[in-house]
Amino acid sequence: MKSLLLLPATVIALAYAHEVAGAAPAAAGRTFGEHDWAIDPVHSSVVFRVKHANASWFQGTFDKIEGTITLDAAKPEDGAVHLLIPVESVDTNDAKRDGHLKGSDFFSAKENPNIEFTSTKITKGGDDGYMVAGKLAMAGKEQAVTIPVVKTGAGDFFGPREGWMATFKIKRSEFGMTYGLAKDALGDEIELSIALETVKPK
Amino acid sequence: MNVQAILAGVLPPLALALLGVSRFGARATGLAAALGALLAYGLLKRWPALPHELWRNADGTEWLLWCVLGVALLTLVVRGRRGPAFLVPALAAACAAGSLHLMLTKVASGWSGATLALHLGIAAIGVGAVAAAWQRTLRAAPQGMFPLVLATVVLSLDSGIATLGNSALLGQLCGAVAAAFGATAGARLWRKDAALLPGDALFFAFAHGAFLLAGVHVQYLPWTAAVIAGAAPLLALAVPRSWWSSRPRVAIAATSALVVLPLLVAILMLIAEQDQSGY
Repeated sequence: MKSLLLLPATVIALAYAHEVAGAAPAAAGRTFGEHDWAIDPVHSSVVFRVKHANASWFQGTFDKIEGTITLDAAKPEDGAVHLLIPVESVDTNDAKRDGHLKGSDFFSAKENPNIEFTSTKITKGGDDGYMVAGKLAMAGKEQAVTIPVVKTGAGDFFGPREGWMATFKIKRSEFGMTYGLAKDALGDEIELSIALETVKPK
Repeated sequence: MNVQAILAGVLPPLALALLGVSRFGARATGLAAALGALLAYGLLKRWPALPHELWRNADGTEWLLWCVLGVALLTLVVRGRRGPAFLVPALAAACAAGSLHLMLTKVASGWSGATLALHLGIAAIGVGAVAAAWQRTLRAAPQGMFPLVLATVVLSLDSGIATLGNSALLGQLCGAVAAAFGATAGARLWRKDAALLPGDALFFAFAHGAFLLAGVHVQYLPWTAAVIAGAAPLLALAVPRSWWSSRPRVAIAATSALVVLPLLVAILMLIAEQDQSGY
């Protein structure tokens, strides 16, 4: 009879442990300064491309991106970049393939719902460019990357805006995504092009 | 079809089970299945993080593999012991709840305690019930080839269900466990005493339930197909116990049909839901 008590005791203990572990401190409030910018998701895009069957370049997109940029051109070292790309927004023009990408062969999106980049160091890199070093996290793995970013322009459209372009390569195997590598069905190297438009945060 | 990936998934458990069962009998099946699945994961994706590393950065699939190994070791302890009939189902239920809790570390981080308790409770009751049904079948059926073959078929179909649920990896790992049971059945050619005991219901029920639970909660397996497949072994309870002594062939046929048909229905449902794209 004692064994039967295992079930409710286990479930209650696990649920209680979950409640205790989940009691995270409230996020601190944040005020925005003159060098703070927010990503305009409607006018920003993330495109990736990968070799398919060692033949063609295949392209897909992530349809959502959000984040913030803090950058003072005079003091880039004080700046910060934080980007969040929901994996659920992946779009390769094929629902079955999108589902596969979200599964455990690639992103395990239920467990790792976002691709996240957090800068650690920003340095000047040319007239309108910067080198943004940081940590790129996806599929439960984190890697240090350095991304060249170029300012593509500045304008006014219902408020001031700035444009940025980053193109860089990563190896998906470094993030544990090895599906299709053995038979060269899908290349290891992924080229990412991130075009951002930033606006003043509200 | 990627033959290389299939071999990487199947060969380690096959080899471990053939060696283990030849030396130690059917008691080695669970351990061979669990170690084979860990090896397969290493060959197919990456070497799994150790449990103490998973505490810091959880991965549901890797927790699943360590839990399968843990339950295989627990099965070694309980399989040959005399104990009350409810011991194995109660242990299976507790293992299912505990394992699902670990697998859900990331996914359930935003859930309330009540929601989590509901999911763990359903998993525990389901896996516990399957363990009870399988234990009854193992007690009633003549020890021999049939339970091993049925376990192999059920886990192979689970593997297909996981694959159709958008996770080839989970399907291959479940296939690795099925391969170990299949190898044990094959090893009976020279190891005639290799047979499952009622206590082995713990490992079978856990493996059957845990891969489907991982499919639903960590991957994208539709819950309707998972419930139909998960409950399939319960239908073995519909076969009267007396048939096993009076009409064993009828009992074998009826048990096989009752258990396998819902799994085939689940597979057909998933195939019907598949996007018919060329991908």
